[in-house]
Amino acid sequence: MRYSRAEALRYLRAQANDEAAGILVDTVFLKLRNEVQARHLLQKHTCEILEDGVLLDCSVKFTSKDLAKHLSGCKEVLLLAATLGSKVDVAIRRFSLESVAEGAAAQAVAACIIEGYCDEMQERFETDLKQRPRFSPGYGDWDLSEQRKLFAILECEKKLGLTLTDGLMMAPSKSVTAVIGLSEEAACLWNKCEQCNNINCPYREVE
Amino acid sequence: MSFKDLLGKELLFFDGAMGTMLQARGLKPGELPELWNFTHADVIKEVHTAYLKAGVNIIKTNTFGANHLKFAGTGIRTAEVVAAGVRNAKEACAPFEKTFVALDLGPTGKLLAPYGDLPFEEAVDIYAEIVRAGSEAGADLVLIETMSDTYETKAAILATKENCDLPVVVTMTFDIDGKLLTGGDVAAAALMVEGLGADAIGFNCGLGPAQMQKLLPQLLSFTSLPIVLNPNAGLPVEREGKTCFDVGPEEFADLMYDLIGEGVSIAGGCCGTTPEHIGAMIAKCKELPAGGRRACNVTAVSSYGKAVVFGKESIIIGERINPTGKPRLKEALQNADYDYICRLGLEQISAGSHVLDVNVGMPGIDEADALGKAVLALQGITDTPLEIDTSNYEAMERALRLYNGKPMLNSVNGKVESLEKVLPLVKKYGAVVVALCLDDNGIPLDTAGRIAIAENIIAKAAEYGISSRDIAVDPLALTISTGSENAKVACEVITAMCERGINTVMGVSNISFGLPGRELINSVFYTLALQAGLTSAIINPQSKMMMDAYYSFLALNGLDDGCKEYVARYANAPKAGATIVSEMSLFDAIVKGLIGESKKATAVALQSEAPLDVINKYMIPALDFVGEGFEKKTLFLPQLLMSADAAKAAFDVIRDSVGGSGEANGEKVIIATVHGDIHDIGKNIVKVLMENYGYRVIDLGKDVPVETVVAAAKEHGAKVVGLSALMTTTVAAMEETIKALRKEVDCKVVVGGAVLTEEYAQTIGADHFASSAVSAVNYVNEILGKSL
Repeated sequence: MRYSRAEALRYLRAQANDEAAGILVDTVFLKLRNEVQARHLLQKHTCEILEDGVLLDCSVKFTSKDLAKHLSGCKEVLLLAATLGSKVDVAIRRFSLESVAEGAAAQAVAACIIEGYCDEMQERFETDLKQRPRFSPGYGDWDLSEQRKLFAILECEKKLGLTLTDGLMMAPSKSVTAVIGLSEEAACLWNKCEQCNNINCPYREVE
Repeated sequence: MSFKDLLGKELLFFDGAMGTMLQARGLKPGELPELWNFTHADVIKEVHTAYLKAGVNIIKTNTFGANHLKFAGTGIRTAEVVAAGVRNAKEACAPFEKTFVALDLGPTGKLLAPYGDLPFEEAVDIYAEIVRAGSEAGADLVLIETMSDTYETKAAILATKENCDLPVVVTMTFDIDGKLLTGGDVAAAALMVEGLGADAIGFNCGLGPAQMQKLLPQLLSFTSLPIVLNPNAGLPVEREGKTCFDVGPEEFADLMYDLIGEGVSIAGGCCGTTPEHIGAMIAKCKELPAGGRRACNVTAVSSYGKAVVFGKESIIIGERINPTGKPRLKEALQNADYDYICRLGLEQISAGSHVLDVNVGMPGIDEADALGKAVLALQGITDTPLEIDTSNYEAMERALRLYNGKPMLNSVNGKVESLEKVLPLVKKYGAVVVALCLDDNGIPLDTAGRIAIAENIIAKAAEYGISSRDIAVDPLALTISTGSENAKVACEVITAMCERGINTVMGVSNISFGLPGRELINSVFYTLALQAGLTSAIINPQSKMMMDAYYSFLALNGLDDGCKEYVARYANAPKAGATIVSEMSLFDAIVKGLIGESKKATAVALQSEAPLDVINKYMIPALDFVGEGFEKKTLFLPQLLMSADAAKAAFDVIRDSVGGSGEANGEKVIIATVHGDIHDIGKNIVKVLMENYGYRVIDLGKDVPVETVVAAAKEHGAKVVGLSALMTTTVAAMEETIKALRKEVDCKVVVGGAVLTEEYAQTIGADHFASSAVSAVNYVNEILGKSL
């Protein structure tokens, strides 16, 4: 299981030298990893980049200028959906009841586990092309409601047990969906945080 | 001949895939295949006919994803889609003999609450609509398939049984490790499905025949029902971004031949299978006999995740979720504080409980509502099975319905009314029921009288179709202080039941009622009862003496291999009689976030100081110190949280010391995560911090409707309401909630959440934007004038 402890500590907003936080995160990781039931879907599609979005070979169009910009030059994309499963949510709720510190640490650890899992699954996907960073509904001007389109193409409900709530949140909550551009060069001028609407985010990495 | 006449008597064949067949005929990804029932009825019938020509008996209707959630906003009516699907299948079947139409129900596409946001009863309603339309249109049976969640499966089975008389077949999708998407295993799922009255059970999708073969033995050992297998044409393989299935028709037929021989009654296919696959299978296997029903003598209860089986080591049922004599639990129930109930559950699980008894009966509360909520809360945090404990029939049914698994039910007895009211519920919801040895004439004092009642209950249960394996007889422990034979009689009943192969359960501690040194008598009696063959006991797992008796018994009876469990437990046990010594002050313990030290320091402080002084002199200053440090950025989130936990631990010690009514007089604050939002971590942190400052926090939970917040604010007369929302999409709900509050309640509203800003908070009409949990608490302190 690929997992970045340093990143988990950053999510938890711990200082680099905080030993107690380190122990907390390690303890939680050991408890949480037994609850992980990770699954994913990766599907390759050819696409046409339009000015205001991306048209896929299955005639679904994602509407977002930022996405179009992010995928500029790509003839193919990967659609990704991944989840750690609902047992992780149950466990996080359980930890939170016993200790808010463990609950918060579990949120941070689970977020890092799903990110690491996505990285790993993407690396295993055989392609001669380079993969651009993940771009998800909700980033930039890509409306969150377009999540429904991704779900329909990938059949996330049936194949992963991954669902959307009425408020367009993913359940199980430790899940990722994204579009990944494929191109000859690893061109990426895009920075996740700069594109994000959440300008108050404590994790924002923008100078 | 009807489907039911043939089921299990002769081998029957389901058709194969519909979805992949339609994709080959032009169905686009993301398109709703069920609409083809209208637009491409000829194609649908052509696929059905191809399977019928291959020799299948059962056609699945093209209604897998037909439900009103999927059609929302399209103007399409579910009932019409379903009726068209059944009609197409019936028309295709007409020229063929011995063929049946299975109304196909798939997953709703939503995750049920509390794991997602679809309430259980809404899921039941969704399926009910489909079942009514399909049965009216003339389906011969209902197939609930590709289920990956036990809870949703339960909703579909209940909807079917409540809305038609058709036979019901359930097939679920497991991964290669034998787990559902929601984490359940084969045993847990099979126990629940059979309990709910399905006619056949099996696997479909996800796996090929070879992988299903590995899981089949588990299914065979946990159910007596006829088995159905509809595998994929092998495991899906991603090639060039497309999903492919590599097992060809002949190989499929060979693999299925072996599988069917292991006891299968209906065989067919799922994704990637074609009429050629199914035809080849039928040609090769049609002369094989059906596996039919088999004897299954397993007694077990289950949760969404796991089964607990009776018969090996005696089962420990934790008794502490019961308000009798527990002022703090009573207070929690009055305040609808289900977090406290969950904590009682978690403590018992870590102390060794295999099952949790849940009893919330007390005067002045709506027991049906409370028991339902307690069950939902507990199954949202643990996969330990529950024993529903109530004598209120309404509460009993509510809880049995909402329970996600095969429950244990406490209890039925030999009284006519009890038998008539409880046994139908046991049958409908597939519970393992506790049978108390008492009837309209009371409790017999002799062994023979109690055995007679047990046998009567078992016989009556059989009339309702309840197997004796779903009964656990409670001999009833009456106190030895009023009858010297009472312990002996109970043990004799246990032995007699044991000889008949009937499971037993007993609330052990009643034996010592009215005596001093109760734990001593209880633990020795527990040992005697275990020796007599008691298969489960309702005890306090946090009583050291009881657990000592249990683990010693296991070690002495060869049930603890190499005494490993015993040694692990006792090798480093602390010596008795140690006095509490704390080297650290409570202030330091909280600031450093040390839970153990905090508890010790509190106990020490309470020896010389009043509880209120301990709070005001040490706890509050420590919390203030940490809060200030956090705001000044001299100390960070992990430390703040650890301090909160340490303070909470201190508070618990104080509350226990004053008998549970420690802070019922604190000012009330209402908090909630707004409607549509299920991310509640921030809210939970705020809750703990406020409780540490002595506020009485009414936590309405997450995804809370506007009306609920307003109603609670009015009911409690709260001066402050805290709202959290994580996403831009749910801030709208926050704004609505604030507007509604403004109209009816005079209170301050504090808001927080990742996407909020000071400005944004003002725009939506909040009184205060809390950038952190500390900021929220500081504001509340300011408003409620907490003297610090």
